[in-house]
Amino acid sequence: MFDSIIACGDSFTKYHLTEISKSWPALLGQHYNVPVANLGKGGASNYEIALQPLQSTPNNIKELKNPLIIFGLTTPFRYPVYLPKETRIGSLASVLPEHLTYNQYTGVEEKIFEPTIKKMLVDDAFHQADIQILEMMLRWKELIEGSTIIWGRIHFQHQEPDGVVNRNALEEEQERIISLHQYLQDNGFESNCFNEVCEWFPLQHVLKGEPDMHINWEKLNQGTKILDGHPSDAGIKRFADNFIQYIDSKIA
Amino acid sequence: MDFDFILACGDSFTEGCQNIVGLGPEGTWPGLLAKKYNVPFANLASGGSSNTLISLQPVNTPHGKIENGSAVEWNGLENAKKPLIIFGFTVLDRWTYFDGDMGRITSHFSIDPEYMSKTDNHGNDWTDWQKDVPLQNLHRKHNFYNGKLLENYTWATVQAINLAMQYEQLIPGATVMWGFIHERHGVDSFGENIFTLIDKLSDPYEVTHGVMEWPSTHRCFNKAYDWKPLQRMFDKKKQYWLRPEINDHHPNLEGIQLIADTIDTAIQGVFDV
Repeated sequence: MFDSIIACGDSFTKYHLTEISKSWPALLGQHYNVPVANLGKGGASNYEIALQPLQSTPNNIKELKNPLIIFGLTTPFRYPVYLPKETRIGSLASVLPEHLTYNQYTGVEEKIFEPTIKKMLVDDAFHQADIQILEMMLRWKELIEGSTIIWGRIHFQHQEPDGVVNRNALEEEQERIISLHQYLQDNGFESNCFNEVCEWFPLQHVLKGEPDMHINWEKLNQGTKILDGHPSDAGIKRFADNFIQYIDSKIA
Repeated sequence: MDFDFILACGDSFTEGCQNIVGLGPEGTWPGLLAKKYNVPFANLASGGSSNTLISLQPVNTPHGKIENGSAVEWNGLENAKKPLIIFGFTVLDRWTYFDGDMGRITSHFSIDPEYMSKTDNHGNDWTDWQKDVPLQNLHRKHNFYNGKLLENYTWATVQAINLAMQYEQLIPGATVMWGFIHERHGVDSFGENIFTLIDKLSDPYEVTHGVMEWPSTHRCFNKAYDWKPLQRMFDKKKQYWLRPEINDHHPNLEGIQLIADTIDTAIQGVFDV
């Protein structure tokens, strides 16, 4: 049903402290024996992820026939910005007030976005934006001939933007994913959400906090503290296994 | 003819001020071209769009929804094998930003402080940061292009053209054309033609002209009008203005026909019909 794979996402898709040949898109390419373009970019917001097929078009795009386009969403709490130096849509990787600063690499004075970010948090606008962004992602099906699109949340945060750890974050995220999927179906979109294969939880949850599944996961006496939630090579393999299970049952 | 669909992107000069003219998309220049070539079309243009936003319209524009008063329908694109995608670019200095209420990128039609002090395209009040960002960016030169150091708004248009051309890579069989239609009224952003720019970074009282080499000019429809922005065809002829009584230089039906005819000349040049 597909002859190539185009993967879009943040660092959980690209690769993080490992090799790109060990990323989950690369593992899927090996499994299905198809060419792969991994367009993931660390710190990308969901809006930036939706634009990756256009802003990060791979040189070999014409070889990627009938692609399976996988959008691996990240936390909603990232803010899209227009980068004046690069003149492209980029992202603020964190909306925590203490992380907003002048970024000499992008030329963006991030602090000036703080009032709008606060307003968006109050209005729950980050989650509302995900609806528009998902519609954009699914629109690629009309533009790229022979494409099939699947989407789902990979990366999520237990911490709310105010820094407080939300103990119910996982369950809330599960409800949101189901709600997004339902919204798309109710509005006539063909929604293929890979979170279905992991009980509608974010894919990150399949790592289940097992230390070996993460790059750096430290257990403290008071409980478990995540230093780096990125998957280890073993964790990435588990991501790929879940993708294969979903694709084989729903797409291939 | 070597295309089976027309997808048009742009600002109000492409959108056609449909709510004022009183005709639907069929009365805009993309609609006139589609009628001539007997192909389906979609006009995704939206008033006030920046060049960056125009280059994103094929993916950023909601499908089948109301966009600034105009129904945007894409019927038939999914069946098109050889779409012709035309980008009608505009003035260089418009500001692109993320609108949290809309959940997507949008733009503001002017960076003139007089207009920034009011409201945005959607009736929202401008906050202080919204006023500051574009003005900060206007006076920063950051990027070398063909040996020249460009200010951000010109560089943004170079990148917008590059993005527009990228659709040819993404959509097998697609042909992309681009060009400038709208130019800044009162203070020309272009000199004699689109290759001469007024350097806005110079002292405001010292107007200098520089040579600009735009990318992908082999697909630029301005060639059909001696490389001038198309608005100049009627900018000093009130009979082509939509509302001369209030100095509104948008094209009326006759002006829209002029644009359509000129872009048609460019189309024939590309496809050698």
